[in-house]
Amino acid sequence: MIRTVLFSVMLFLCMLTCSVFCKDPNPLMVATTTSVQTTGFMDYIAGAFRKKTGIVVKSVAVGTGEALKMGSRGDVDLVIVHSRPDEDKFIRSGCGRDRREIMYNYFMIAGPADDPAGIRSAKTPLEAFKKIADSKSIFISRADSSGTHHAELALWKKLNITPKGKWYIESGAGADKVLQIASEKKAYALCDESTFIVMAGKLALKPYMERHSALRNVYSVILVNPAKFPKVHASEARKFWEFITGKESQKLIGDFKCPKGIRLFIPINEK
Amino acid sequence: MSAPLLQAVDLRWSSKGSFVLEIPSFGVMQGEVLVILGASGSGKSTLLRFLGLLDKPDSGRIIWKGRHVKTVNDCLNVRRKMALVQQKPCLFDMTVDENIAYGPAIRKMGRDAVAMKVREAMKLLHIEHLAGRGVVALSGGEAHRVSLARALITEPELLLIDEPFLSLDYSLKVHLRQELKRILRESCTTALYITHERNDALFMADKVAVMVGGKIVQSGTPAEVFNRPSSLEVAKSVGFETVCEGAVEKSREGLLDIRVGSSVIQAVSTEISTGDVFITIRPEEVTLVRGELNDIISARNCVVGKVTSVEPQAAVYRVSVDAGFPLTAYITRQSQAEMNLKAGDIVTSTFKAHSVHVIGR
Amino acid sequence: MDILFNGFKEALALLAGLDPYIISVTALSLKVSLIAVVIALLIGIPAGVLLSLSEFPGRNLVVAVVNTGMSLPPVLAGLVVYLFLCRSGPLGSLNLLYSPAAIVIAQVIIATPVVAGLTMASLKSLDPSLRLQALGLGASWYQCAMLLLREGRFSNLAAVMAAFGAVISEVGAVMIVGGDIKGDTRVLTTALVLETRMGNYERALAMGLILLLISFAINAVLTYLQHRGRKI
Repeated sequence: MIRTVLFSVMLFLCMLTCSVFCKDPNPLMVATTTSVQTTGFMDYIAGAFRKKTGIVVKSVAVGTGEALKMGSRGDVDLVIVHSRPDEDKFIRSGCGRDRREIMYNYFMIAGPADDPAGIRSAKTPLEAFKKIADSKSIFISRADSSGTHHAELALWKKLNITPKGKWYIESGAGADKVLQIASEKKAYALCDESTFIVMAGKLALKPYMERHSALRNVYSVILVNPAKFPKVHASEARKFWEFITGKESQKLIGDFKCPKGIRLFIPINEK
Repeated sequence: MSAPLLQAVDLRWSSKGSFVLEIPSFGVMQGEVLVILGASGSGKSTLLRFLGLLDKPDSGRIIWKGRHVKTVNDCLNVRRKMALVQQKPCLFDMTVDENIAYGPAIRKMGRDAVAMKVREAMKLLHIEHLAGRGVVALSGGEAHRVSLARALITEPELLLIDEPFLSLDYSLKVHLRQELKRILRESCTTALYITHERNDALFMADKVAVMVGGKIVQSGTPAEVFNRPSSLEVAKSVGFETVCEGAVEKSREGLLDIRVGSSVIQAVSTEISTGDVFITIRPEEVTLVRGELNDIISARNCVVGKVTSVEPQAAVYRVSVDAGFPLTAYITRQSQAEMNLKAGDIVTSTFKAHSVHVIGR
Repeated sequence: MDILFNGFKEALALLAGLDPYIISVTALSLKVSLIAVVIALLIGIPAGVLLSLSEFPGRNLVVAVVNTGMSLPPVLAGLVVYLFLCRSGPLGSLNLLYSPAAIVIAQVIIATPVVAGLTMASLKSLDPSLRLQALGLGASWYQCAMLLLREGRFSNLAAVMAAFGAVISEVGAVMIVGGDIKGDTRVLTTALVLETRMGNYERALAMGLILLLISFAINAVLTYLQHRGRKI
């Protein structure tokens, strides 16, 4: 009696093990940013691609810096990132090729409702940042080499300010976490609007500097160069690249809405 | 002349300390009960482990029925012809039945056959009433019986018994020992019995081997070993409590005059006639009489001395006397009641020349 | 306080409603954890037996390694597995990274030393005369090992519980080698972290409750087995 029970348990576990270890041989690996992942966009677009071609796309969400590093090791097949200077460096190094912009949205500054730094009256992001630095209001930085982080650093650089001190917190965290920290600490943070929209209901933060032209945030897709990294799944990667840069995807991007009904990304072709 | 059932040849083992076990040759004959007698730390349990193929010595061979036991398979086959009973019953965490059934079960015997054998074994040891019980709440005696049943059920050709019944009270121990002897005799089982108690050796043994400091110093029938120990250590092991140095002064036809301390005593020896010796006397063979009496009984040594201590024991009183040399005597309770000896009293100790055992120095 | 209470309420509602996302995440958690524990037992128990019952050159070194492995930070195991399985690593061509298989591998590495170490400790704490007694009744080395495992079953089942606990509650290593990919490598613990980060506290609590229930159920079964058959 106990023997049959043990035997059937072992058999069941063997089947489970097989199902775990024998799976799709060649999934596509995409490294992308937290903002693209958290919003559910990657699942959405990968799902559409799978329905069309049957190819499974797996995405890991890390910061732009980390994503490009993974690309330069050949650990992934494509990257979807949003930091122009870093992307150019990536292409120049020969690790990536065929950069194509696919969509954009805007950065914005999230901050406490009582606005201690008074940035509501600022006209430009630079002015807002200066007010935050002058008032030493708490600011949470991504500090993780992400596209958002680089955009933030670019602003400080233009102001010739090196942010330092108790008010400037370098969290090293992803977009969603940074907003959470900012919400808890009643602080300011630079973030992409899609993450903010998705999380808005749970944050004690208000949006500032929305859709300012100086804060345009462009997302591009880059192929990891198969010539340099033979382990890359080149043909599947190219298929996905063609899909995501094609007209069909532009429509999909335009149709992508968060549960509240707000569009999170704007297709690049749209003016 | 039959070959030994189990033999150890050139056995040698040293512990991480300084203890060394050295057995050039040792054997157990079929059908005999061989008792290895030795004090704690003499190495007898270690020897048993080597003989039972439960441990490997540093060097040496174990020979079973004339064949050297070499490979692991050989070991297992021979081990299955033996069975071990340890000091503690060492019962496994299962029911009494399962414990007893362990031996047959690991020999892959069929379930019904095993059940029948278990019943027989329980009947043999009078523990049928323990069927189905767990082992946690068994009494000491019951646990030892289960341990015996567990060993005997395998019908071993050689039973290895290591100081069993040690923790039991005296009457229970005597009772179980009697039962064990009867079972061994009836089933003609060869047994190797380890003990430090002389009574066990006297009662159980067909042959006794005395072990001291990792070596077998004498082996023979109980009569030989107990009456004619070949060395001082053996003498001490077999109950000679008076042990003294002496020198032979005169010797004629086996009768020796030996100077011991300030006295001269007579002893009988066929092997020794001269030189320095040890004399050993069993305390039971010494009679004590109050006061100073000389040569009142012929053919007996008489020495006068002073009582140094009187110790009550189970059945006798142990009296230590300074008679020019330290002498120990046992007197009965009756005698002590009559004489009322105490330290400081003058007594005359008498013992036959035959009672003095002489060992060469 | 409100959050906790409301969260708890919503969690129960989510569970009762059998949300498919939660079900798939739970199923994956159970699948990888059970497989990992079984593999860890298959490797760890014989290893523990060998280490406690036999002598071989280098045994002390292996024991030290096992004992170190018991307190190994799980994230370190995750990192090492990642470095082996990523495309630029030695086993990159197996394409196992960011898959449930990678999670299983990392969990096996975490759990096996725990099983081996605790089995070894349990056997070593048994009365040495038990081993002699089994051998002295004619047991082969294997039969003797089986008996000793049975004699120490209380501690051995505790080892199984410890291994399962370590594996089902692991977050860091699972995140590193699994990537927390929805529908693929998202397990209860990583999903819990994600939901917390996104502020969905009720869903996070629901995950936590399930983890608790699973641990409780498994431990209840094991405890039952532990105490079974102890007749007086």
